[in-house]
Amino acid sequence: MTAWSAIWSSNTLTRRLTVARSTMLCLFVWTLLIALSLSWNVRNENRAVMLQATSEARGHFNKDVAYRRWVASKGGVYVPVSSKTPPNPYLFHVKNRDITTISGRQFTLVNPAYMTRQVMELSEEQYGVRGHITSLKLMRPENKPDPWERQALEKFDQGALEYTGTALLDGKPYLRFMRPFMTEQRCLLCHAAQDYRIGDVRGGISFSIPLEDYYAIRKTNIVASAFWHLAIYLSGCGLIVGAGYSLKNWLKQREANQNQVAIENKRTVALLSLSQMDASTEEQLLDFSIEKTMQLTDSTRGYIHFYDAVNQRLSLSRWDENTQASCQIAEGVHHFELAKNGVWQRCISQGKAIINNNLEPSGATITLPTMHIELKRHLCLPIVDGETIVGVLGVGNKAQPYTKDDLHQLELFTAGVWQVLKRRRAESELARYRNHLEDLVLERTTELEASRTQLQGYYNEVSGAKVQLELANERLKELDKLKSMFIASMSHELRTPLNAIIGFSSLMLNGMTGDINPEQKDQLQRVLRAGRHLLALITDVIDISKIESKSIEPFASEFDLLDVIDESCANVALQLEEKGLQLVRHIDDEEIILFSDRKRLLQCILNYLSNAMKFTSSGCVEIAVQHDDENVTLCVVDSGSGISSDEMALLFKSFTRLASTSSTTPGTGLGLYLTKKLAEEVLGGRVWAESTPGSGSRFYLQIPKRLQT
Amino acid sequence: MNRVLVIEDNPDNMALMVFLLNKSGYRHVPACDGRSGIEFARQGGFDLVLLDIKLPDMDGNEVLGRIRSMEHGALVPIIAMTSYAMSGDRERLLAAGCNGYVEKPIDPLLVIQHIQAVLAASV
Repeated sequence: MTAWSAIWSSNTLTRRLTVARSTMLCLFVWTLLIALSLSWNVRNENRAVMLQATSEARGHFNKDVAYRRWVASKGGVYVPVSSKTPPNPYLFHVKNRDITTISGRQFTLVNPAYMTRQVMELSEEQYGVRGHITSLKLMRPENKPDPWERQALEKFDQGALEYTGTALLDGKPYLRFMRPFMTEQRCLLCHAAQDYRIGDVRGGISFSIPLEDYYAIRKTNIVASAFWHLAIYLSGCGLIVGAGYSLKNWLKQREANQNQVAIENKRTVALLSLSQMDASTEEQLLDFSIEKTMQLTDSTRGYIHFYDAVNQRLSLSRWDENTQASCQIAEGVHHFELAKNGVWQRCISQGKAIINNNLEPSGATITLPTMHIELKRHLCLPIVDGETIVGVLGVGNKAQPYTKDDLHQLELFTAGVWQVLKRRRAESELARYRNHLEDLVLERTTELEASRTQLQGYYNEVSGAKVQLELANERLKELDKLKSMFIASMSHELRTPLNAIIGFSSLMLNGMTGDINPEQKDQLQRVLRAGRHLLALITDVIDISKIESKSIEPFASEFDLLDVIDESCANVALQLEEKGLQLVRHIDDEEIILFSDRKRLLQCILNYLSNAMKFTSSGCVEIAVQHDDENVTLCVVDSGSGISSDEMALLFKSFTRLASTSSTTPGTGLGLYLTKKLAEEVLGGRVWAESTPGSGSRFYLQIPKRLQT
Repeated sequence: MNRVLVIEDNPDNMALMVFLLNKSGYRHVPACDGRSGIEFARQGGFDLVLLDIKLPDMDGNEVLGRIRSMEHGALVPIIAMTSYAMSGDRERLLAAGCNGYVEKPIDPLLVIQHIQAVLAASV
């Protein structure tokens, strides 16, 4: 990368130099072109001036030659003699050189040369154009050629037909023009003496055209041309310089962009490498990041510190290698309270990057602690995770001041580094959890396996037990059924023989089978009593067993209580008569309608009455009824021996016979117990007793008028 | 002279009832099981039926139902005799169509009184 950058940099430098050189070269070529053009124009202007002047001279020449020819063709013309036109002495040999008119006027012959000279004098005088007839073979001394004319005449001898040049005459510029005279037939009239042959160069006429006017025009033209050239030149220069400048700027911009791209590329590559450093430790990642941070900003110092927001403490995690090597902070003292660290404190508390480009001891904007590493410039920025600041990243000692571009690069890079770090931390945390989970799962699996085995054991046991229980339950149900059948069967089977015993003995005692003597009667009475006792026992035992096995069901029906009392009284009437007792009823004649178990109520009343009769030897047995809307209360009163308070507690218990009476009174010991059970569990009422020893007892039965089934 | 059909399987009890009825001036026809009892009942000519509920070949309730379903059995007085003595037996049998109910062991005098009462009611 670095080498490549260097090459790239040198390339751009070359390009920039080339731009300057090209600009200079363009300027040079442009100058040259303009100079050439200008000189070409000046030259053309000169040539034009000369051509025009020459043309003018040619005109003069032709005109003069024409006049001369005309004069020559006439063999000369005669003009009046004047001071200005005296007779031509060089025509002395011509006959009739001077003539006089009849009127006496004197004319002299003017030959072409003479005329030409006179015209030339006039022309010079009037137009400034000097003419001069000259020849190498002079006839007149005035016609002697000057050096230029001699040169021209020599050229004519060699065959030249025209000769031009410039010269200063009397300090003024002139075009000098000369053409030769060829010897013609007519010339020989005057010049035969000079030994000319026709076609020889006899001499020439030179004209000197004043150039001042031409030069004035030329000057104006040249000035105008120069002005335009200058204007075009300057415009061209401007364009060239402008183009060069633009090109330079464009290159510079492109270079800047390319640098930007290069840095971004660098950053991306760094981040990519960072994200691929899977095998490295976090320290290695941090070191790599710091190195790249420094490279991105051309810094020589760099660090990454993490911030613990909960404890407001900064842990100085990693510096660049050099700083780390020269750091004088003691090992293990890398944690600081944030409040004590100015720049970092500001950076974190404000969540903003801080750039210090002037930390030189002279004029430093912040004071560094003693022992601090040398720091000239410093840039630090917060590492941000969403809304939270998790650390500080900083660089220092860049050669140039830190710029916003540096900050921008670092912000982007830092964000990337933090993402990688965060991902790494999350991954390692996950891995830790996963390992822990695996352990846990293994542990739990083992436990579960053990539990399962144990449960399986339990299940097998329970299944066994359940099977046994079901069997037992089945057996119990069977037994219960058997018991119910047994009870029913016993009730029937035991009563059936008693029917014969009690029935026949009753018949015999009633005398229906004939007379019996007193002894037989007594014996039969014993049989009957024993039979009835056995019947009572059987009935009570069966009833109790039914109550205790909960197999007794109340059978509720509507009936009149008085009927039941009548029936019970009828039942005990015989016994009362036998014992000589009176039954006194304290009952009104109005009917008391009950909804209850008639048979069981009858049984209870009979039990009370039998009991009362048993324990009453003389006097009377009383029965009384009281009722309200809900309950009816029966009371059976006897005038027997009464019950002591000790014995009261034993009343209504099964197979209990009071000591005071057991020896004298027959009984099963089940009567009161059964009455209590029937009253409470079948009739939904209660029983109780009151007694005064020596004067009798009162037995109560209270039941609801309507049995709740 | 009233004719009484006695349906009773136990010979001792049958002897008791026969003696009691004869002494009390009733004619009787003994039947020792349900089937013969029903057969006698079909022949008719009885003023009263004494019906034991526990019979060897069928339930007394069924015998009661069969007799009541006969043309001349619908109105003949029937007194049930049972040694079950369970609560509700009396009410159930009376509801099923019995005219009287006697619990065994019987009191001979009470049975005669009961028979007389039932016959008097049915006239």
